[in-house]
Amino acid sequence: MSAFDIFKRVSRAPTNPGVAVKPRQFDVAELYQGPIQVSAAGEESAAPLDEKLRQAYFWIVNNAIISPHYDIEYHDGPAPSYAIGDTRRSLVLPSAQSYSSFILLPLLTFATRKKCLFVGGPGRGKTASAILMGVLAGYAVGEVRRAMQHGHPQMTIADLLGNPLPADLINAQSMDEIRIAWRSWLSMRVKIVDEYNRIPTRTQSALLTVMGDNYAEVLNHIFECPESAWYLTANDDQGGGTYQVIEALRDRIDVIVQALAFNPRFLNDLLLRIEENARPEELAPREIIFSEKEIDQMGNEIRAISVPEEVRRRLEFFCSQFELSETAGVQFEYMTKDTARLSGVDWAQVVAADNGRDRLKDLGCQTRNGVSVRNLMTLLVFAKALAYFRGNRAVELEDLRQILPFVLHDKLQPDLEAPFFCVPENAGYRTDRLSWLRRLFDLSCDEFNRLDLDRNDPVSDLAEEFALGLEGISERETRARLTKIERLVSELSKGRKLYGHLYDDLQKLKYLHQRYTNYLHWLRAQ
Amino acid sequence: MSVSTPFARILAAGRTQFNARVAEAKRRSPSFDSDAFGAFLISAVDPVIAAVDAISPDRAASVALSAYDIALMLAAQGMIGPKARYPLVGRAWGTLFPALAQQISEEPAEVLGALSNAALYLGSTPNLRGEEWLQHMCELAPTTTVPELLALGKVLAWRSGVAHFRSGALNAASTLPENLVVAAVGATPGNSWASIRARFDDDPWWSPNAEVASERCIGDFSGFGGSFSQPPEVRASVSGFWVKSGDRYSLLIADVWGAVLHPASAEEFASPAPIIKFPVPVQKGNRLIFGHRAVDIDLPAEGLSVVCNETTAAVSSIYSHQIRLYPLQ
Repeated sequence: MSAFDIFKRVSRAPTNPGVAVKPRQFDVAELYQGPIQVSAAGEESAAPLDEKLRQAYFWIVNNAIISPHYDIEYHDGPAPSYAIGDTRRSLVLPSAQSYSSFILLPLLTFATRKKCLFVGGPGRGKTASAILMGVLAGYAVGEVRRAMQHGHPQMTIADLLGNPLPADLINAQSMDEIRIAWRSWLSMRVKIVDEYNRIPTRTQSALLTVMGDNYAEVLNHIFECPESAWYLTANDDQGGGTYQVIEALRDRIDVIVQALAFNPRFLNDLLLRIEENARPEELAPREIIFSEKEIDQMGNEIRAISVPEEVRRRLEFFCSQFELSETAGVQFEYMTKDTARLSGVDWAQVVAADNGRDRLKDLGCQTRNGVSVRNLMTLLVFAKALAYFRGNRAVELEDLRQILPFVLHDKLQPDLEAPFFCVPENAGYRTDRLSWLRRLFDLSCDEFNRLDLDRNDPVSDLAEEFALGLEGISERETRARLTKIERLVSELSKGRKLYGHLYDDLQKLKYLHQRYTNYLHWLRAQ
Repeated sequence: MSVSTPFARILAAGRTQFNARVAEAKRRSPSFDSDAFGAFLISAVDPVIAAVDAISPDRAASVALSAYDIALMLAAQGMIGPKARYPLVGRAWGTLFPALAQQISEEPAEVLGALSNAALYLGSTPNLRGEEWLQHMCELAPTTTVPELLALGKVLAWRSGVAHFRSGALNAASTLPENLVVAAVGATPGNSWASIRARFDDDPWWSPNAEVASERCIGDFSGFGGSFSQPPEVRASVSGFWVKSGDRYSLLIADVWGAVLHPASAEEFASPAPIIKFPVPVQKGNRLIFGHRAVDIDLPAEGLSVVCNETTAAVSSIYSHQIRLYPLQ
């Protein structure tokens, strides 16, 4: 043991103190724990997995990744804010523990076994971060490096997945007799694909099967992959690269993280690494290495994090804003942006026809599409993971607000011709998509509050009533509820412009009406 | 002043390596005090090496390497030297470690590291009696094996006021030889550990030594070096008491040998109090009546608050920054 193995020092627990009421336990072994690392004298106390995850985060921040940017900001009181430069953009000094997305998002991807794309210029630590995640899963650095797939224009499906054994190709009488030498990376729990946008389109399709369905297929032979965390890197997330990335593959990516520029103020740390010949990924302390069982357990614990109704309702309201395109359909259900997209009609024509609403105020006008089910599920999983990482047992609105831009980064496409982006003070949002998405969510929450939907949401009241079940509901009561729904539909549609959230409310009411109608028919048949 | 011959020989043999370690420490820790480190090598590390060399010369180099690295770490963190934040560490090296040559020669990194950490813990936590721990260790530790030494350190730490380690320390005590454990808890030789342990398990305010005070006082005004900025509010908890003073919350754990405050949260302070099965003391003015005994509190009756958990009554007042603790039995 070296007294100065600063690269191996793990932050002392609790890394985020005072977040949950748990029974206090004191371990006498703590007496012998301190700044001097002792290998055998003190018995190890198993830290909870969320604490271990935080220790991994802080080890990476303090030792492995130089110059972290604290862009995931939390506050627990007034935070000093300064207007900087000609644009008067604000620099906020967070008053609570805040995080660097470049480290936190890959870590949450690791904990939830999702798929993360690193984007950014060359030499910014994208691949190094991905390798660190492999190391956290208990693999040796060499093993992770060897298993990493490097995208290149000549990459074949065999390069990616494996080869049939040459002898079997000659001697086999049937396909079943051909054995496949599968690539070792397929069985790993952390999979890294470097520069995935340099992979030829056909090979991308094979990659899609592995990413999307978790199996590989060569000559009718199937290799079932274990559930894994995926890390992909690209120098350009907009589909650039040697080959256009197929849309389905892009859609499988759960979060996108941008590798920000190195701050030369941290050059001394870089110098230290050169002088010490230290590679942090080779020095990861064993306290932050996760076994397969621990990752499974962590996944279960993350899923158990609750999403309170007030948080869920705001997410519902936010997502409601975007799918409606009133002029795209004639039948109510088809008045969506997806209908317009599938028809192949020029987007500008669709927008030009939409002249009834306040296009600056309507958040739906800022996007060219809506939020998919896959995106929503990813968003909920990552919001839970962030709450878990922070040591909470329920998702807070701020968790959702912070994680949302990274999940929807590549999914919610801005309409840069929309009036919102033409306002001079909003010009920055044309290029800074993360800030735009966060602003969009803030505006949606403001509107939610203005409508007082926390306290006055008749659609939710009806839905809750329905959720209690139809068992024992009389015909008279059913008719009363149908009348209530019809009255509400009539009220909502009276003299008001159609906005996204209203459109979804009306659809929900139609759904409830239909369920009660069916029940009424059934009742009368008894 | 120079070092002993064995240590000088070891330093000379590894001069390049040792010098490189110091250069590395200086680079990584700009506040590294080379003079304090040098003085510590002479005053604290050298006696340990000399003692080890006297009983096991072939282990001296290995011990020197471990001791040197630990001394570097301590110097880099400002734990040794004239400006040391916690002098107990230096005192442990100077007085205790030379007496533990046998154990150190067997497991140098573990013994030196663990006991240095323990000295840091006892020296840095308020309300603990680190010097008492050191004194008892010097008396009882030299003849132990390494596992006994580490178990003994835990027991004596508890006896020196680390009330929150009571349960673990009792378990560690049960692994010690009978005569050693009886001495470690301050009981009269000849008593059986089994009967002593039963008493400890039964009552946290029982002590084999009748002279130990059966009541404690903790807190004081933070402006005078105490723990509380405002007179504390107290709530009972299963393991002790939740305490609120201003916007700071603490968990107070106490027994016959000490009382320690740990950081806590507002949520913990607000958690429901446990149900008490035992009779609580009756308050008459500023007098508390516990069954057959009475205690006079030297505070006005007005604003006096008495809170009880399973074993202890905590008395606080709007006129005092202290919390007084009394055994219920």
